[in-house]
Amino acid sequence: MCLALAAAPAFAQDAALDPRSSIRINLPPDSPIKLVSADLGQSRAAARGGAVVLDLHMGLSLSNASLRRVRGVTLLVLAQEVTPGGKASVTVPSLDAGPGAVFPVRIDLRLLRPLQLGMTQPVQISLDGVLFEDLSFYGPNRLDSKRAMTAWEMEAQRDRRYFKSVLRQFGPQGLKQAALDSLARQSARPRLDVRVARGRAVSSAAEPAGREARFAFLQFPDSPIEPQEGVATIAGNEARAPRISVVNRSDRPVRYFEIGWIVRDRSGNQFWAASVPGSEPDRPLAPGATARILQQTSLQFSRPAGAPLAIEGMTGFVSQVEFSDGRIWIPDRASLQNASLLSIMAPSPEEQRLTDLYRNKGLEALVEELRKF
Amino acid sequence: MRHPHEEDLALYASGDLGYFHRRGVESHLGACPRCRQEVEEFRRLRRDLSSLEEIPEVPWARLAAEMKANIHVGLEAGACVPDDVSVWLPAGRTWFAYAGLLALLWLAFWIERPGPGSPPGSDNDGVVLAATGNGIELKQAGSSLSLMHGRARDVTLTVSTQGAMRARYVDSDTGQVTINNVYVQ
Repeated sequence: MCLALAAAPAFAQDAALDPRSSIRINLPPDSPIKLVSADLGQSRAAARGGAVVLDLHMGLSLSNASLRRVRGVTLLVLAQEVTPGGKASVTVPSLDAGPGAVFPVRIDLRLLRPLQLGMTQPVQISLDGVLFEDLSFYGPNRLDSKRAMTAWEMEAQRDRRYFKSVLRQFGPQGLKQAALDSLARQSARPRLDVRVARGRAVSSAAEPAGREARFAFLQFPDSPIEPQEGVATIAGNEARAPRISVVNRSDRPVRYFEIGWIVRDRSGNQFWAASVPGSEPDRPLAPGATARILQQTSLQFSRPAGAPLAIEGMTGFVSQVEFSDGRIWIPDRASLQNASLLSIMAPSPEEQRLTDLYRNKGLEALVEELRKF
Repeated sequence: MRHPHEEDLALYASGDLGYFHRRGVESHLGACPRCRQEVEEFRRLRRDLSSLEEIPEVPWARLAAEMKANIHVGLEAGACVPDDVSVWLPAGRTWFAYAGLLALLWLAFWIERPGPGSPPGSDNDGVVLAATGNGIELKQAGSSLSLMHGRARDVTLTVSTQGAMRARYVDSDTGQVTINNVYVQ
């Protein structure tokens, strides 16, 4: 299916412009997801000063045309004319859309480009993947959304199991307490602003000399991957080029793994900084084999108020492993709890959704939602 | 055929590429004479640089001190010359002294300037990802792409060192979780 939202005037005008000429939505003919409608609402395009600004506020209605329940959808958003060095996507995980169900996806996008370059076909939206209830997948998977959505679905199953077990053991009041604890953790979780650049320093000043800092690793007893040693170059509030050695302790080949990266400031506060992925889809890491990952990336950390964060120490742990057969390992809640990671890591999308449901609609709505699964 | 990045070929040539990347590059080199040639060039460059490192270190600090001392001697000598010999000569010497100092400063700057192999910290052509107050912005050469989360509350931001940033929030209208991802290619 291809929907080209039709014609409009050229962009190089100093007036409000019709943004509809600039969007193309492509879904394959055999897609299990169909486009029902696309509402552009308050979208607008305008020439401001020396730049063209395109503000897109899209409300898409999609329907599940398959016979299976849909658990997640990822749409790829490309604006190659504006930023050829980047791309974007919008994912809706934790869905529960049965056959024929219609569900919304919002895309709020802003593009800015020098006026003299203009914009002719800046935005293309296409399907990257659909995850079903049985963890089967449809789509070109150009963004590795199969792995990402499967991991989120496994986290969702893990966290629903946790809340359901609390409900079973301690009743609605116990569930209420668990939801309140989660909300308190989410609001107290220390946050950082991070800037990312690949292969270069983030700051525009000449790159300062750094020191090598070692990772301290948290080990989970059931983790298929064991980190052995790791270093990164630290210069003030900037961390560069993490290098981590791991060994595959499992009896299955591993094609992807992620190391969670926590940084510590001088006062001992810990912050979730980033994840460090390692992958080689065509050459999985064999059982017992070791690998070294090196990411030519620079990260610059600052507090939400803007003050730079001086990095004193770093901790790492295995946060996700994908085996070559597509199965995925994630840490269980007990491991995260024991390592005090629940208060540092972001909650899973499902935990965020369920606690938000409790906050907005109350305990009964949460109990009802858990009974659906 | 998709070729590895130039940086990866350079790291491969110096033996600094990680396991996974190394295996990938090796596999590509087996089928790509152009990249093999490029790796050979990097290796040759490394050999040349190694031989350059054997040049004895120039004692710049001592040299600078000697030059300054010579300038001072010149100025003092100039001060001994009677004014009636030439009215312009002392001023000229001062001028030459300052010119010498400027040349010294220029030389120091030229020696210490970032070379082509330096990390491109001031490279403005690069792509940078950053979280803004209401979205994730990818900037490149005066243009930008932002995925906005607007006024959503409790936005969770996560970063991948592969060059990706995610903003996750619960849509207040639908109660659905939405995850905006922006990637540096």
